[in-house]
Amino acid sequence: MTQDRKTSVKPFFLINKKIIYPTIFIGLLLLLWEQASGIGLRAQLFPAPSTIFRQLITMLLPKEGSSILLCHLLASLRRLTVSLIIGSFFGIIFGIASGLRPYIDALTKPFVSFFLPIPGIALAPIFMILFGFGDPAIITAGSLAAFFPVLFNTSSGIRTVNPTLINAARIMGATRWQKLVHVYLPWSAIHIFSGFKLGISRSWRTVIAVELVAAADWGLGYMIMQAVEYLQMKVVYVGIFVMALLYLFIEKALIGFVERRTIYRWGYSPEQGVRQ
Amino acid sequence: MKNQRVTSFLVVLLIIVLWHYASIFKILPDFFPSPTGTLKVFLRMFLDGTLPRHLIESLVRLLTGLSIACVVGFAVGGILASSAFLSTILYPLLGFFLSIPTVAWVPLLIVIFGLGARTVVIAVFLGGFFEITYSTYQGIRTIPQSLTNAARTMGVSSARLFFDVHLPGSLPSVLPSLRLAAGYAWRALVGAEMLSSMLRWGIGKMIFEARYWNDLGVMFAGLICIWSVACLFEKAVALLEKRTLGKWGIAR
Amino acid sequence: MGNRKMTHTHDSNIKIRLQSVTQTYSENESETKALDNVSVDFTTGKFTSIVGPSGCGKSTLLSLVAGFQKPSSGTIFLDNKPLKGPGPNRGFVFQDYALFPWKTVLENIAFGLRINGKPRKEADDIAKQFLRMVNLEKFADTYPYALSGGMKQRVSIARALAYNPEVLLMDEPFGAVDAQTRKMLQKELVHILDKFNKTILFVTHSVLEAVFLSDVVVVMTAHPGKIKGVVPVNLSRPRNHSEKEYIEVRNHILTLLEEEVEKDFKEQNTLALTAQNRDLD
Repeated sequence: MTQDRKTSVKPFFLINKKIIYPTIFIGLLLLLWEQASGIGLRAQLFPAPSTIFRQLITMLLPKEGSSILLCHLLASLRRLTVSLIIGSFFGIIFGIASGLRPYIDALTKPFVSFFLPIPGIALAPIFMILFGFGDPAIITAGSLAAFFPVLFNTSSGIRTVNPTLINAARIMGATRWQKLVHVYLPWSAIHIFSGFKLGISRSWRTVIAVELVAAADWGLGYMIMQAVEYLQMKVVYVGIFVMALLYLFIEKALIGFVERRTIYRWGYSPEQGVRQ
Repeated sequence: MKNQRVTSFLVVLLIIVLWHYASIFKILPDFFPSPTGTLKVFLRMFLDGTLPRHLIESLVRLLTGLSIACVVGFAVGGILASSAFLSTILYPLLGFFLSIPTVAWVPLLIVIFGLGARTVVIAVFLGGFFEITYSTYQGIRTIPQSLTNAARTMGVSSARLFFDVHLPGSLPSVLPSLRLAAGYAWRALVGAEMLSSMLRWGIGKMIFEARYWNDLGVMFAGLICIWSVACLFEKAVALLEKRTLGKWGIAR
Repeated sequence: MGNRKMTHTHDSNIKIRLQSVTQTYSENESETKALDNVSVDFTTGKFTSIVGPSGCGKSTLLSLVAGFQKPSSGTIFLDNKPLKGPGPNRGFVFQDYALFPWKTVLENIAFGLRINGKPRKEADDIAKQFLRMVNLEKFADTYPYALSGGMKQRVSIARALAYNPEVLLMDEPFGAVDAQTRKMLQKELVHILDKFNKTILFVTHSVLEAVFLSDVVVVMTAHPGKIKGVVPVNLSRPRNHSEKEYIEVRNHILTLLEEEVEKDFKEQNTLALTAQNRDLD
């Protein structure tokens, strides 16, 4: 039986090795897992993929009007979105300010140096004492997690603008505001994007982590912790799976979309950097 | 740039002074310690051995998990890079696992491995492993083909190829991600320690427990420790970078 | 117009005047004098080239006239008024094109018009005219990264001309392209500028280029930057590289420069040796 003929038998999919092979491989793994988990204790700790899948569907379908899974997911997303908005907004503003004015940079530097290396979750207990359980603690931690990378990257972007381009705008008589909008910001867009990506990653991780300890009602982190307490392992797996999917979606689909409309169009590519 | 250092230092000083007066005039809530209070707590815990014990236990777990992650990560990354077939089938899986926040593994690990130190080390391992594997794979893949070809025409064996070409060539990608991986590992550590209630020692545990006594002083002390360790790591990686990439003239 | 010194008078004929301009840069502990007490006039409506060896300060001079920097001492007059900074009465063409990578070709050219208040439609129409002038109409909606060096420079020239400045400053604009493109761009430049009556300052390394393009050539010396001489080029256009008078002017300038280049060369060698000896101690 020749393996090569496989590709010609599948007209639907892009006859693309990169999609077919991994799918087959993962399918095989899942089958193996399915077989291996019929037995005793293992069934508890490593439920079969089919069980997990069934659990996923159960939690997804609306019961009494709302889907449990979606409620948890949306709660986490909500916290992430709010954190990102607050964190990036202030991050960009302070970033521009520090990029343009060295004395502001000097003021923010100590804060950035202190908070950037600290994992958001380490701050969680402090916020829990200050704000108690629930959203305020989670969102504060998440906002801080997004704020610092965005600030740092924005300010280095602004500081490294090609001076020739600034001069090109100056000779035409551009005002300070025009220079900011037409030169500084587009140039640092690349930096702001990478800062934002980093911010999303950190914020997401922090939100989930703080949810594990500080959430009282909804949230993917909370869902997992509750599941552990009742030894509902399949729920835990569902949670992990959903988390990964969600993040992948956010990163590839959403951000990729924005990037393609802006910096990729201007000739930037992730491998080559800015081509001019 | 000296000016900047001085300004930063003054800013920090200013904040401490403001903090001091804020606590004297009771602007801050009751449980919020003053700078001197924090310092006292820090010194007390340092001198009576609790702080160092917490710190060392955490560090041991971190280094254990991280070094295993490095070795295994390098190996797996290298294998992936050398086999187009393996990389095609495993790459999506790797990408999937990378998107899972490290802390999310902890509840699962707790159920499987219990509430003790073993869980923490495994969590640290997971945190570092995926990232290092990914960056090793990418790093080797982006070595210019001409370099590999040059080595091949000289007749190197596969092992030699790995150590003399792939490993150094992948460093521009690996070293920066080492920072990231260390960050993930550190997060995993703190998170795992917070959730593993059977632990007695550990920085994460220390900070988390302080919650029950509303002891912000201990938390601040813990934060300062965390920050110091993170800085040390950063310096260590930067030093490694200087000794390798810097010497070879490959700027970041 | 004399051959050597210009007479200092308040002349409506003189568009730009530098009066005793000195520019010093201090880096770490050493001070470099880029320009040393330079005084020179640029006549309205004439194409003036500035040539000289590396380090003679010609780019600095241009940068000062553009208003990007302020002179350490001395004054620069534009239209008999002291210069206060960059502004749209001058246009600048940079050696590395300096096109905004996030704007299309048309948007780049229209930029000077837009920020000075012209409404979009009008700005775009004017920009299209200039685009046509440099023969790049088809590329109106292209982003700069996709263009070749020669094309980018033509866009750059169109951009500098679009808002109709009275003065055009060009800093080794053809330095980064290959020889063939360079020749073509020179011809195009003459052709375009024919339509206008602008005062042009053109910095270049190439004496041939200077003699081909300009009405006047200012020759500078290096270390520190001073004016060595001003040579008028009274040849009719279009110019022919093989005409006798052309070659005469060229040789005259080359001679002026050669002395400087040799002096410069000897000096550099001495400096290098001294530095080496210092390191060996």
